[in-house]
Amino acid sequence: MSLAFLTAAGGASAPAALSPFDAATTADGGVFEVRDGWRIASGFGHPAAEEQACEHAVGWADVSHLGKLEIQVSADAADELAGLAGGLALGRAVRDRDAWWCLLTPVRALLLCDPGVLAGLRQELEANAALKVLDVTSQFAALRIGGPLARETFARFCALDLRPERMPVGACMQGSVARTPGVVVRMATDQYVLLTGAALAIYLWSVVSDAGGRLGGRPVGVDALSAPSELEEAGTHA
Amino acid sequence: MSRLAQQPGERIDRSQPVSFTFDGKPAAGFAGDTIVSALYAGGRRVFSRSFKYHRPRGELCGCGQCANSLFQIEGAPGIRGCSEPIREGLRVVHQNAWPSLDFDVMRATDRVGGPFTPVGFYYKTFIRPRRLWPVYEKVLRSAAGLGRLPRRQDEREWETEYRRRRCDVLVIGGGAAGLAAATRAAELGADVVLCDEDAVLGGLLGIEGGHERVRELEGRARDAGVEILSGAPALGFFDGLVPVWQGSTLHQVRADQHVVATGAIQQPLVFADNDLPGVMLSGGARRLAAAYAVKPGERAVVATVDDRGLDDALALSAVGLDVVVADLRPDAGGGELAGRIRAAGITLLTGHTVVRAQGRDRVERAVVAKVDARGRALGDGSTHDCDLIAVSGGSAGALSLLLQAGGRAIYRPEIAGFAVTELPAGLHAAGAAAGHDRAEAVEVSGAIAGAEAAAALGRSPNGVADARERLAQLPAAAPVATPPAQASDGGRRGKAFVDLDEDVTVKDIKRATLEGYDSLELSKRYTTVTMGPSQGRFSQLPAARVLAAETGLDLGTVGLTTARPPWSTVPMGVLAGRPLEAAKRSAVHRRHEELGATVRWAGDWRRAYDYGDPVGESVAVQAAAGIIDVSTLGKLLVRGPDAGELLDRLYPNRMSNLAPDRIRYGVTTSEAGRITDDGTVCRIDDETFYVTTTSAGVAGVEQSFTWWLETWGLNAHITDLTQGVAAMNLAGPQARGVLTGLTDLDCSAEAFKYLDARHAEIAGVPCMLLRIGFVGELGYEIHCPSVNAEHVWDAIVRAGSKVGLRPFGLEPQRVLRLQKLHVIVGQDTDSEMTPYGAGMDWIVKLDKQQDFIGRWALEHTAAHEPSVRLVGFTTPGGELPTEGAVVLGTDGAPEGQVTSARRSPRLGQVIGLATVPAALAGDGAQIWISDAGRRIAATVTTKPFYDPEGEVLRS
Amino acid sequence: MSFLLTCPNCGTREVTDFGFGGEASTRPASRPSARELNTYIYFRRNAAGVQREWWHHRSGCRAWFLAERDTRTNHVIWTALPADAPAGQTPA
Ligand SMILES: [Zn+2]
Repeated sequence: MSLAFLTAAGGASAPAALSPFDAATTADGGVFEVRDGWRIASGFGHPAAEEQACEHAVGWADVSHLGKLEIQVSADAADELAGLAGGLALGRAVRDRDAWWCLLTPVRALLLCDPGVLAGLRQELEANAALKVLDVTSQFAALRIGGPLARETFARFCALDLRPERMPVGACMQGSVARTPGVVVRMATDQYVLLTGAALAIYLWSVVSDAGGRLGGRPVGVDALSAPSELEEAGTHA
Repeated sequence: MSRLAQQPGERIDRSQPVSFTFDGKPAAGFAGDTIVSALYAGGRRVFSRSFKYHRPRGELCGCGQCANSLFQIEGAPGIRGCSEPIREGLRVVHQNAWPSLDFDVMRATDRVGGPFTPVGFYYKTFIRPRRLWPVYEKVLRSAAGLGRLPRRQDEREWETEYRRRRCDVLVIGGGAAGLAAATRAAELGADVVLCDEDAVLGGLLGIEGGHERVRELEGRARDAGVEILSGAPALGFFDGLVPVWQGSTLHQVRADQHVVATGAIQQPLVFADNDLPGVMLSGGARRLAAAYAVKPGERAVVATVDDRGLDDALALSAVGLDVVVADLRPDAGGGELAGRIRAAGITLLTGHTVVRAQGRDRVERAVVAKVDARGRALGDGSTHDCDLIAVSGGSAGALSLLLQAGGRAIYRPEIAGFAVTELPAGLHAAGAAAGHDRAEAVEVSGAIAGAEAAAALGRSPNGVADARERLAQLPAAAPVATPPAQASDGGRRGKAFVDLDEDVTVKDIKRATLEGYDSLELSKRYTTVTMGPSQGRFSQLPAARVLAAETGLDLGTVGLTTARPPWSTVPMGVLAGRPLEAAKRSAVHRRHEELGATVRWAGDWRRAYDYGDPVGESVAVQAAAGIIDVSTLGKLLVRGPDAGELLDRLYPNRMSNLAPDRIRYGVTTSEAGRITDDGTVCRIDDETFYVTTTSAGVAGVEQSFTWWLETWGLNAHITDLTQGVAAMNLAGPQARGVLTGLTDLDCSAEAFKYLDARHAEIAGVPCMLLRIGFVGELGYEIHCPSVNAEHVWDAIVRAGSKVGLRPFGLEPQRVLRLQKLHVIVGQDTDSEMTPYGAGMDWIVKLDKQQDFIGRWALEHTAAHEPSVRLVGFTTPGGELPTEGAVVLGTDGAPEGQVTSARRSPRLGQVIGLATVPAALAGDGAQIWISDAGRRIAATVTTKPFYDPEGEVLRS
Repeated sequence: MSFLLTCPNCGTREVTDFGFGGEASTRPASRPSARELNTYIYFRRNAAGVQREWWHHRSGCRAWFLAERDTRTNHVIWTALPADAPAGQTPA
């Protein structure tokens, strides 16, 4: 037996993976394409309005296809974990090799990466016997929320202290979001990625749509918010 | 409609007329008017009927603090008419009067008189007999009460949203002190939010002629970057969290520093019939004129104990009222104001106060007399024709929020009131709430508080010492006279109210004291004084004074009652937030909806209970095959060198000797040996176990497992995979055939046995298959990545459709498992059920070497016969008992209960699980079930109804 | 109740982020007498004052940690992971 059943089907003949938001993005008029084995909403049929929303209000894009790895170590190997990616620290999201590395506890880290690099990173990490690596991609729904009113949108459904001095670019924060456990990474001045449990995706979509919609925002395609983040530009020193 | 000439700083826009209706009749005002200011301008003086006696009540405070003008606006009761702005087409209706506000038949309770409804009347009268309380309640509720809740759900919609706001400084109160504090803190670099309940900032300063200064202060605050929330009362202080309600938004403000500049509340005076419409706070009358250009009356008697009343008298005189002033102080304060009163030609009666209001349903005369220290009139006094009695009974700092935040109130005789002291760190008081009463002192104290708040945040303000010096040198407040508990002319008729909200009179408090309720907190509970909508703003001090006079205690000893949140009235709907429920949905949920499933809550999940035909679905499972989505099962991965050891300590049975690719059933117990959850444990490799839990139990199980892991310091990790792994149970005689067509795995009974686990690709998706069978048929639990779950589901349904496979829901599953007497934890077990009681003696391995959770208690339990046992039963007569029905013991006393009962289509009989007395727990025993008047005979069985030897399961 | 609590891993959060684990108590090291077992399972000190207690960061890192809190004021004196907790008497 193995844990292969935790990783989405791969290969040319494999069925496209469906985001946990799929029913919601479909209902909202998503326009889809298959990328990296995932059915992805590349837009919602109103490119100009979507761009406007991101520029002047808030936009949210389904990025659940981002690869996610959990790394755990035993207490005596905490240093090993903290030494990854040039140095991890609690509350920080370190950008390294097309992935964000978030140390969640001294013995557990979460990696968020482009789907294309998932398998390679995993292999590399598994080579280190001290690390217990688990593919948790399916476990989380992921939203990229961006725009000048992104923080105000968060304020409508979560009590996390996202003030810039507490949540600088490159910070990672775990806590209750919309009454469910969440992880928030600030990738750029007005850009955040939010992770919650996959089963709550449809609920979360309705919460973000409700809050963001009142502020003039709307759902946007996966590329609308992918302007290079300050974090990516600044590398690990963000 | 009459208005004064344009007032400097008036709030109304005369170019914008607004029409609305009051009790169905047209009414008019201007943009900027409140309901009360518009109706008052139109001549209305009665705005409500009182709570208990249905006496007519007029406006009191003019600023949204009193309960004298609460209205019903469409679906919302209890709206404050003196602060609620009018809008075009608004439909305003009175409350608590029938048939009309001007003629209310319930007034009889007042006219017939006191003996009918003395204090404590309701407690004493309606307590016996208890069974009649529902009848009494109905009558009482319609007679008393303040408004009507909408009956229909769709009339209750509130478009309210929460907004969390973190900031450095929250300033509560936007008068001169609050504005100065906010500006100072913001100029020192703090992130500041300021809120004020009034739609227009400025507080008292704006009403007392300082509107230009208010404009300046507000401009400076905005320039400094203060976020200003107006029309936004702070509702309370909850461990540092302050909810601020502003229209459709509830701001949940969490600040590091708080400046409370809530001002002071002008107090009423207590005399006979002090509730007649036309008795108003002098500040309220002045506000009507200054803010809304409404002339509050023609002839006024102003009764005051402080300078504020004198100042208000001058203002009323200036807008054309004919004014007589009765100042309780022998020298009228001895200051410059008394001189100005005289210079204005206003009659000033020093050492006098109003001892009685007279008039039929509104003020027509005031009786003014000199009084002694106890309030008794010296001589007959004089009678003055008037239509307004404007009173100023001193000021009480609005301290409630400070007290909620941890401050302490002490009595200060020189202000005839309470002041707050011992403020906890991070809490600052400014302005009138801190005891300052002159405009300049108020503003300076605000600036100091703002600087102190900034300093606490690590900024370095300059000039704070200078400002303090300046504040100290400002002239002291003019002396205030302490009003008597009741000013009285000795007349016997008439009621003197200490609490208008609750219709509590001086006599009520006195009577309560005689009956032994001699502390303020007791008196509050007995008489309900201070418990009305205005939260004691106008009744705390008067009630305390009566109590002090009766008990001989000083006011400081009597103290204040605790005013609990909310400090301002707020609709429940506002607190309820957005109507979005955190529902979990399986990755296959869309398919259930497409199939027309009956979707219901199961814990925090939305689940398919059936697809419209529960009987047909269960029959299909037994005749051919079925598939049920069981993604809600909790799924935990336990990994590490000590994983087996950990599970051995957490389960009463052994897990570490489980072979890889094998599965074992387990229950977890508490330290008390009670069943807490159940599920299966599958060993994936030496160091890896895959543990399933009940749908509702996973969070608790994970918390408990991680806690013990932490406590024992074992080397293992636990990861909750519940939401990332979908699971479906394929079951039925055709299950093997369906599966074989979808995978390369050898699914033969020899190669893939009962309780085996296998990896396989199904329709191209990596899956883990567990051969277990909750429903009692040959079955496979298929676990796969949730992102591929729809694909796997579709493939199985498509392949199975040829052999009659049907998706089945939770309800048919429950019938099927009941045939096997499979227990559902939480349904068939309660918090007292042990594995022994549940008939699972075999699962507890007391011969195990390790200690395990619940071991000691289970050792004890094993040595004693459980009082009840969980067994199966049938009802020979075919009656279906209700779940929860009582099982009777041999002596006919209730000793157990039915935990599950269903009609089994396959067996053609009623089957169930029940807890029964141990003596009746044997096969074939006869039990009686008492179910809402029915007595049902049932026969006990301990063996499964279907496939008792498990041959089908293992086939 | 809406005070703040500081998770040793994540930082300060609203108390609603956390699950309350009750007073810190110690499991008997060896088989207890019936009376001791009863006390261990069912009896709590329920102090009106400072007590040492368990909290679980349910909505965040899912770690268990210890705190000392004044139950009268909800003032939290410290929080720490068990390994870092100040030595102190743990009530039995
Ligand atoms: Zn945490």
